[in-house]
Amino acid sequence: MMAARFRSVTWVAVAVVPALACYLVTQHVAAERAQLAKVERQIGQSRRAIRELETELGTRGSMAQIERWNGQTFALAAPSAQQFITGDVQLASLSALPALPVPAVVMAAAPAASAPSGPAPSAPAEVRQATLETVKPAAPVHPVRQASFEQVKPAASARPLREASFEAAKPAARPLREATSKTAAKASTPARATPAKAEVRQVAFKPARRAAPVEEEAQPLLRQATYVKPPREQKAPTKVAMLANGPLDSRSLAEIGRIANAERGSRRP
Amino acid sequence: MNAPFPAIAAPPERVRLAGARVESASVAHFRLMVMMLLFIAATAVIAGKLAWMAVASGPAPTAASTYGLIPPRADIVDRNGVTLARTIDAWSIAVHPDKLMNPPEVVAAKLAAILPDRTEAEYLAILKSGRSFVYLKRRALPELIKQVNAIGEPAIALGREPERLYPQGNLASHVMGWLDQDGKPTSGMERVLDTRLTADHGRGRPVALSIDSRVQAALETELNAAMVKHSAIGASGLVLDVKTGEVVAMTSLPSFNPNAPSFGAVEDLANKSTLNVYELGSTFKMITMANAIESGVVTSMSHRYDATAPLQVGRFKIKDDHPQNRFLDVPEILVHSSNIGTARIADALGPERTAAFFRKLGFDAPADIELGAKGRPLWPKFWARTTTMTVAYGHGIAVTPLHLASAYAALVNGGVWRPATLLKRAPGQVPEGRRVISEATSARMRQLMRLVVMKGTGRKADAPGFRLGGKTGTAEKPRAGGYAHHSLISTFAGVFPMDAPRFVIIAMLDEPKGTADTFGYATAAWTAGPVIARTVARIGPLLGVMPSLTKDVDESELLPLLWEPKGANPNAVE
Repeated sequence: MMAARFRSVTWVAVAVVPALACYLVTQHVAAERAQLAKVERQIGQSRRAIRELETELGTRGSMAQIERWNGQTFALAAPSAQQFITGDVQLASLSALPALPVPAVVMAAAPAASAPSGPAPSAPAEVRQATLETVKPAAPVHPVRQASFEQVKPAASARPLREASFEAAKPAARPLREATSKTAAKASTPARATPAKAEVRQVAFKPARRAAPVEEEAQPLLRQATYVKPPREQKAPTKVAMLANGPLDSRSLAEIGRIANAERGSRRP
Repeated sequence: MNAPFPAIAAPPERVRLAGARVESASVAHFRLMVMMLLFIAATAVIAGKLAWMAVASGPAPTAASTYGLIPPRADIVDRNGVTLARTIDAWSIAVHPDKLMNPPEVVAAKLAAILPDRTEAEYLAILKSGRSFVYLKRRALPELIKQVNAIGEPAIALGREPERLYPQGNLASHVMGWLDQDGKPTSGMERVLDTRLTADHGRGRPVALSIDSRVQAALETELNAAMVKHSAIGASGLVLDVKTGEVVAMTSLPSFNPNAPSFGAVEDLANKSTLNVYELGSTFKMITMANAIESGVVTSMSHRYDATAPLQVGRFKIKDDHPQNRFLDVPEILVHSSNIGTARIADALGPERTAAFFRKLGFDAPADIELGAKGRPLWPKFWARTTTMTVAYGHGIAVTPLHLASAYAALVNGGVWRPATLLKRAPGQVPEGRRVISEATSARMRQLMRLVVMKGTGRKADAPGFRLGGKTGTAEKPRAGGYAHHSLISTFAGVFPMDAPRFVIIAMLDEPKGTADTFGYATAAWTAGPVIARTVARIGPLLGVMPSLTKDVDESELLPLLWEPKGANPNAVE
C-alpha cells in the first residue's frame, strides 16, 4: 500500500536525481573548463612576459654591447694556442709535481758527486706537496686579516700578519722560505697577539705546521717574517681555458654590474 | 423562483450556447496544442542548435592562438637560436589635431619638452594643421609614454602596434634587411623569407639562419677596426662552411641599423659581399693553379717558369709586385705572388680551359645564394691572349667576395663546389654539388695555401695553432682608361684548419691606406692579413676548431722547393 502511495514520489525522485546529477556533472565540467581556460590565459600571459623580458635582455646584452665591454672595458684578447689543452697528459704537465721518491739502493749506486744533492731536492719537494694542500684552506685567509685589523692597534704588529697571509694565499711560489716564514709567524703569535687571534691564526696555518714539523722548535724570527718580500720574478700563472667553470668570477660580475649602472645612470636625463 | 419553467423548456439560445461552448473549448484546446507544439519546436530548435554547436565546434581554441602568442611575423634566429629579428608590441604616440581640447601652444610646448625630435614650432604646425591623424613617435619607450600621458590631452593617442625589432642592431644588417614603415620587407632575408615568415602555419616557429652571431660580431669588430685604422671606404667579410656552403658570417661595412634604416647612407645599404663586384687580384692565382694542376698543364711542382724580367705581351707588360728576377717553381710563384709566372701558366692553359673552369666555379653568373640583391660578375667580352693572362691573377674579371669564398671552399674541400646558403642546413640537406677538381688536386691546393701563409705573403694572417692557409690579393681599382695605382682592393682569402678544412674566411678592404706601423703599405698582407689572424684566433674555438701547435699540413715535399737567399730575413714580409 505504502509503495503504491509513494509510487509517484518515487518516480519523481527517480527522474529528478539523475537529472540533478547530470546537471551537477555539467556544472562541474564547466567549472573545470573555466579553471583550465584561466590557467591557459595565465600561461599565455607568462609566455608573453617571458618573451618581452627575453627581448629586453637580448637587446641590452647584444653582441655589440658585449664586444664593447670585452674590447674596451676589459681589454680581453683571444686565448693563444698554448692555453688550450688537448689531453690529460698536457694538463698534467702544467702542474709541478714532486719528483718520485728515489729508492735508497739507487741513491747509493749514484756517483758521489750527486749524493749530497740527494736530500736537498727531497726536502723542498715535501714542502711543496704540503703547500699544494694549503691551497684549499687558503679561503679563510680573509677572515684572519679582518680580525687582525680590528683588534691590533699598532701597525707594526699588523704587518707581519698581513705578509704571512699573503704568503699563505700564494703557496706555490716559494715553498721553502714560505714554510719557514710561516712557522716563524706562528711561533711569534703567542708572544704578541691576544689568545683569540692566535687561535684564528693557528687554524689558518695548520697545514703549514703539518708541512714542517721539524722546525717546530725554531726560535721566533719575527723580523724575517715581517720582511718576507713577495718573490721578485713571480711568473704570471698560466690561465687555462676551462669553460665549464665559468669565465667570470664574482669580482668581474660586480664590475660589469657597476659599469652597467654607471652607463644607465649617464643615459638618464 | 422566477424561473419555474425554464428547466423544462430551455430556450433554444441556451442550447445553442452549450453547443458553442463545447466547440469553443475544443478550439481553445487546439490552439493550446498548437502553442505547445510551437514552444516545443522552438525549444527543440534551440537545444538542437546547442547540441550541434557542442559537437561541431571541436576543441576549445588553444591559449596560444587566443592570446596572441603567435606573432604576426615569425622570428628570425641565428644558428644557435639567438634572436636576430622579432616582432614586438611597441608603443606609438600619435595625435588627432582636429580633436584637440587644449590650446595648441600649451600642448606643443609640453611635447617639445618631452619629445625633442622636433621643435616647438614644428609641433605647433602639426597641431594647427587640422589633420585627422599624425604619428609623433613610433617605437616609444614606456617611460616616454608615461610622460606623454601626463600631458592629459585627449587628442593624443597612445597605441600599441606590432613593430619589427632587431635586438642585435647593426649586426648582420645586410643579411637581415629591414621592413619599411608599412611593415613590408625591402631587402635581405626578411624579403626572401617573407611568405614563410607571414604564413599562417609558419608564424609560430622561428626561422634559423646559418649565421652565427658570435662569429659575425667578431668578424665585424675586427674588420671595422682595420677599416678605421686604414681609413678604408668600405670592407666586406665572409665566413663560409666549406662542406655545407652555409654562410656563418657575412658582413658589409659600413653597416646600418635596420631598426632605423632611414638614418644610414644609401650606399651603405648595398651588400658588398654579394652585390658589388671587384677585381680580387692575386687570390685568383690559387684558382688558376688548381686549374693548371687539374688539367695537367702543371705536372711537377718543381717545374720552373721564367720570371727574370717583366713579360711583354703585345702592348701590355706584366710585372711582379715583389720581383724575384729569377726562374720560379710552382710553390715559389704562389709564395712570392708572381704575376709573370702565373701569366705563363695561364698562357699554357689557354682561354678555353680558363673560361671553362671559371664557369664551373660559377663566375659567369650572380652568386648562388638566397639574397635578392646579387651582382652579376664582369665577365670578359673577348678572350684575348692578354685576357687569359690577366684573369689568371684576378684582373680583367670582377666577381663578388662570395664567388671567391665558394670557389675557395671547392678548392679545399676535396673539389666539390656547392651553392652558398644563408639558411641553416641539416646534415641531410647538403646539396650534392658538382665536382670541379679531383681530391688529389685539392690536397695539393691545401699544401700550397698553407705554404703561402707559412712562408709567403700571407704570413701576417697566420693565427698560431689554427693551421691557416690562403692567399693575399691586392688589386688596383679600375677607372676610366686604366687602373688607379693608389686605390687598392686588398683581399685575403683564407681557409682553416688546413689539415682538415672547415671554414673559408675572407676579408676585403676597399681603398685602405698605409699607416706608420705598416710602413705605408696598403697591400693585403699588411691590411687584410692581420684582420684574418685576429678573427681566426677568436672564432676558431667558437666554431669548434681547437688550436694546436703540434698539428700541421705535411709540407715536406714543397718546402725544399723554396729557395731563400743566404742571410735573408726569414720574417720579412713583402
